Amino acid sequence: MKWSDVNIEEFIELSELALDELSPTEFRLERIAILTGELNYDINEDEIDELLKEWAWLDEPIPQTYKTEGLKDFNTLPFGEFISLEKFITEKAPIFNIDKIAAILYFDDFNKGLKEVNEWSVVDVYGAMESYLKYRTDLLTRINLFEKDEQEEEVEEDEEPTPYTWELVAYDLSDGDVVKANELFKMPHLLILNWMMLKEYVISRQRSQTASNHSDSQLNE
Amino acid sequence: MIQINYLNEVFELRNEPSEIKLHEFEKMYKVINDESVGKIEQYFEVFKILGMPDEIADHVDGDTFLEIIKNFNAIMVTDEQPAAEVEIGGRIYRAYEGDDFKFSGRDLVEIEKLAAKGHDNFPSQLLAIIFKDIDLTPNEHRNPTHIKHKAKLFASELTAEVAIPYITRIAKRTLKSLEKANEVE
Repeated sequence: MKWSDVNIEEFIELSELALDELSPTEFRLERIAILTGELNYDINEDEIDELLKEWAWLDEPIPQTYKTEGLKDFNTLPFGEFISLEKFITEKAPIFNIDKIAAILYFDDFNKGLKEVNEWSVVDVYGAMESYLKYRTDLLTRINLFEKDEQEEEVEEDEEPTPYTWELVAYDLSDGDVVKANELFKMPHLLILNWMMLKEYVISRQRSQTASNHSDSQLNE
Repeated sequence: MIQINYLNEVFELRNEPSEIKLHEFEKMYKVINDESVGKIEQYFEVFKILGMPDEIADHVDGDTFLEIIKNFNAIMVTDEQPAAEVEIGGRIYRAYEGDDFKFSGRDLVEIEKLAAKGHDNFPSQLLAIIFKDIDLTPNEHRNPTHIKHKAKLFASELTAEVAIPYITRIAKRTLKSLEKANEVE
C-alpha cells in the first residue's frame, strides 16, 4: 500500500489522530488500523517492528502531483467561492478540511463535490490544496488589506473595533443590499479585491486631505 | 557490599542491585536522572539514600570516594536476561514464558504513556505493567487500581535486580525509536 491508495476520507481520519493523546506506538498502530480496519495489540515488539517497517511510507511526505482535470483556474474563482475557501482554510488546519477545499476547487456543486472527493485518492488533491494555499498567501501578502498603518489606527482609536470578515466586505461594497451582495459573490474575487484596494486608497487619500486641511486652519488662527 | 572504614567503625555500603530495595532504587533513579545535579553530587545523594552517615560522606577523602564509586554496581545498565517470574506472599507474578522476553503491544503502549508522565516511581510501575498475577484475567490485570496497588507492593518487596534489566530494555527500545524518527526527518 502507498499514499495513492489512501482516499480523502481516510486521510482526514489519519490527520485527526491526536499524537499528543496517544503513545508513539499507539499512534502508529492506530494509523494502520484506520487503513486496514484491524487493530491488534496482542503482538510482540518484534512483530510490531516488522509491521511498522511495512507501513513506514506513512511517515513519508505525500506526493505533490495532483489531478489537473477539472481543477478550476484560481485566478477566476468567484468571490463567493473565495470566501468559502477562506472559511475552510482558517477555521482549522486546512488538512482537516481538505475534502471541502477540494469540493470547491473541482466542482461547481459543493454538496455533489463533497460526496465525490471523499472517494478520491489523497494524491489527487493534496498538491492542489497546497498549490491553492500558496496562491492565497501570495495574493493576501500582495494586497495587504488587513494591516492598518499607525495613522489609521490612531484615527480609529475611539471607534469600536470591527471584525474584518469577508462577509462584511460584501456588505460594505453592496451598501447592505442583499441582492447586490449576491451578485458580488458571483463576480471574480480578483475584481472584488482590486475594488477593495481602490476604496482603501480613496479613503486614505481623503484622511490625508482632512488632516492637511486641519493643520492649515490651525496655522491661520 | 562495600566495606568503608571510617575512624574505628566499618560501614557496609550496599552496592549490588540484589541488595537494594526497589523503593530505594526509585529514589536513586530520580537522583541519577536529575541533570541539574553533578555526577559526584549524584553519588553523594545515592549513598545517603543507602544509609551512608553524613560524617562519612562529608569526610571521606577523594581517592577513597572515587574507589567507592568505581566499585558501585547498582546504577549500571545490564543486558542480562530479565527475571521471568517473581513470587510475593505466595502469589506468582509472571512476565513471560519461554526463553526470551518481548514487550507486548499493549504493554508497550502503557509503558510509553507511563514514561511520558515522568513519575518518580516509574521502575515499580513498569514492573507492575510487565508482571502479571497468574491468577487474574487480562482485564483484571489492566485495571489501573490493581496496577497501582501492585506497584506499591513491588516497590517494598522487590529489588533493583529485577527492575534494571527491564529498564535497560525499554531505554534501548526508546533510543532505537528516536534514531529511526531522526532518520525519517
